Amino acid sequence: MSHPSVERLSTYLDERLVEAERRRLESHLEECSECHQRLQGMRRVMQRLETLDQQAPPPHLGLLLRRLAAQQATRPTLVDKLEKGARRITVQATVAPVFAVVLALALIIYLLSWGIHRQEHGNIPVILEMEPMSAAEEAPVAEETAAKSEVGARVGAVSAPASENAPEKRDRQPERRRAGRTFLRHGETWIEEGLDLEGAVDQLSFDDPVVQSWVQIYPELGELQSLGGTIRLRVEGRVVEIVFSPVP
Amino acid sequence: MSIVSASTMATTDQELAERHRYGDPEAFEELYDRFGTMVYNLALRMTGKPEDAADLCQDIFLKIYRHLGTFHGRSSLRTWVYRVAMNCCHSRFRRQRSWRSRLLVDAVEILERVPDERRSPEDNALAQGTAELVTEALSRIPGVYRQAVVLCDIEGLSYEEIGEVLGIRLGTVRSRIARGRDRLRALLEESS
Repeated sequence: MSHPSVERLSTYLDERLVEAERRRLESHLEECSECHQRLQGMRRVMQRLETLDQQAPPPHLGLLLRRLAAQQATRPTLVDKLEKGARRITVQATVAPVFAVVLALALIIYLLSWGIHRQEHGNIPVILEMEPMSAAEEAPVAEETAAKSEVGARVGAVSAPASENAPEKRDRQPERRRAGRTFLRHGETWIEEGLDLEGAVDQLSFDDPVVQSWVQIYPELGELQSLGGTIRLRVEGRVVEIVFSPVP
Repeated sequence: MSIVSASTMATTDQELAERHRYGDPEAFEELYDRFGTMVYNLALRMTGKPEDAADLCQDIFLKIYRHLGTFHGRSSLRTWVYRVAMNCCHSRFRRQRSWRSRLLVDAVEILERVPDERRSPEDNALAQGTAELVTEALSRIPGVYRQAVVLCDIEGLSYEEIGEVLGIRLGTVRSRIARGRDRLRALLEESS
């Protein structure tokens, strides 16, 4: 039997292995001192965690929370606000049609200007999401990396032009700069200068200098690094994604 | 726990939420009395610092106050409270990218605790030293592993309950607990 995984050892400690698996593991543990030692280490960790003392919350916390709760209770709720708003609208009923007309006009103007903007700028190359991932996007990545065997983490995705209709514009812009970094055109995609796409499409370890340079740019990759795994770049149409594969 | 007592508990949980929904101020007080210590200790294990724990605990209870009315008893109130608490921890973790590094510096402050009079002074010192090491090690492992290990080994939740609290599958629960424990093992062996 090959060495059991950490997961199997931990599940064994929680007495959640099925009988046959448990016996197989126990016979391995009798022969393998390395695994036995690891198991004992994990057992000690569990014991130490179990013996941590329960602390009483500071006395002021309860008082503070009761006061804050009382404040919340006296604040008008959303229902109160809506009821109040509804009453106001009833009183000033003549305002409603005027407001509706103004809103409709604003919407029409916005839609028209958006169409014009698209016509003017639709073929100009744009770079999307070059900033590090926002906090709002971070949670799903952390969740998914541990949950799936391979995850497309859009840590830094680069988009290229939407259409083929303006080759002369693209030729005039062989490179773009943003936040002190240079991006070069690679087919339909903008790639950061110094990043060898051909090599990078293959599976890379975090020791690779190219990956290390990305780790410095995107702290989120550092987080993934601590989970252990490899990354590669995946080119899909106009978007380059950094794909993280945790250790199975 | 017997089936009868479990169902009684569920009714009480829902009654508490109902009372809160209808504006009974004592319902929230009762909730704090029931879960205050549990939530504070959870916050303490997740943040590593008493003052941060108190702050986080405050956020958690205010969130509970605002959303208790939406509790409909599909899970136990305890599980629901854990879920709210872990969501708050996660939000805080995302907001404060640097908290892990701060924890390393300040982990020693966790030692400001009242000695347990049931133990001898030597045992108290030993327990305190162990707690310090464990707290520091906990603060150094990734947040997702810390959540799973704290819920399993300190709070004593089952894999199924942890899955419900964190909204993840059983396989992921098992994997996070295992990796968390192994990281802690390595860190503690390194420090000793």
